Amino acid sequence: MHDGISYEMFLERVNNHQRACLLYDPSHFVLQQLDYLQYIDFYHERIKAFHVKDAEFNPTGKSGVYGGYQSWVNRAGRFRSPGDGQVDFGAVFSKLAQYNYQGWAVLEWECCIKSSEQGAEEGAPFISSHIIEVTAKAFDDFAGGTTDEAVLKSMLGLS
Amino acid sequence: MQTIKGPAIFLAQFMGDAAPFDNLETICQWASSLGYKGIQIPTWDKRCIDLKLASASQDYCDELMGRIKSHGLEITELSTHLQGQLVAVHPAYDVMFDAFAPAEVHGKPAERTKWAIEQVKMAGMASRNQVEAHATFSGALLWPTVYPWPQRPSGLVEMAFDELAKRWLPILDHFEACGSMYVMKFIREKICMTASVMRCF
Repeated sequence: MHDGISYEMFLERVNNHQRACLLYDPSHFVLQQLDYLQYIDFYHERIKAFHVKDAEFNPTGKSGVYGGYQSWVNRAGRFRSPGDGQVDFGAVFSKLAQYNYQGWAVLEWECCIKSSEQGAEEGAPFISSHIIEVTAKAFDDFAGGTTDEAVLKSMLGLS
Repeated sequence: MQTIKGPAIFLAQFMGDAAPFDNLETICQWASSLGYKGIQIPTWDKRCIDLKLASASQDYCDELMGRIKSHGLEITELSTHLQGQLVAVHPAYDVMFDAFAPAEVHGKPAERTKWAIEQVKMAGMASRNQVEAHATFSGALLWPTVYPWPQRPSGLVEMAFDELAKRWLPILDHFEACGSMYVMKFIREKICMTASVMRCF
């Protein structure tokens, strides 16, 4: 399994087993150029764990997705510390919060440039700043009026 | 909507020979001092957890959880990424993946598969009443044919997925049983398979 389609091929064969869920790690999507945001739209009910890892994809006239047998640092697609790559974590955390993801945001450090110590030091505040404390009210409540059924009916021309 | 839990940190890439990364106690202190609230534990690293003991002894689990909690941390998930990977290995990767397994099953793919399945199942038992999710890799039998040239013989893909499902169904059922055995507590282990292409081989 390496994407949504191959996960579905597996899931069908295990009778949609409720324990066969997903650990979402957007970095791997960047390397194979999958849409890591729409994936959450498709599979949010199955996402039960989350690795916060970044990546970047910089194709050139010499190398692309396959990487040309080069070392990690010299590949077009390479893993980075959170914030150093191209993943839009603002959008990722927003989608997970919107879909009521109830698990953890876990740093996985695999960067081909930065030290693990610096990655860990920066990782905690990076994740904290992206965790969205979800709202308990609508943003326009302040401007809302009280509800009066008679007023509603009159607004709609109902008697 | 619910606020996501975190920050947490996967310890696999940090465990090492030098302090504070050489044992669970000091790495917990270090993680906590950086502001982490949870740790994901690599179950293949004996410095972090004795998986066999954790699968059998509630006292050991309680003691381990207590030690971690004393640092202001929780276990987010147990991880069997390396063992799960070995549930299904194409022979082309036998030599390279032997490094993930103990020496006694090197060069013995069938025994290695059996060992891997046992390991993942033990992690299900170890998670039973303390952690809600479990992280692993599925392994795979199709990586040598990921590129559609040469043309794959008809039926090859279906056969490989059938076999993968056959190996995982009993494991998934085991996790279900571990959960339902303790369902009155707060247990919902789910096997989470990472959506990673480079490492699912």
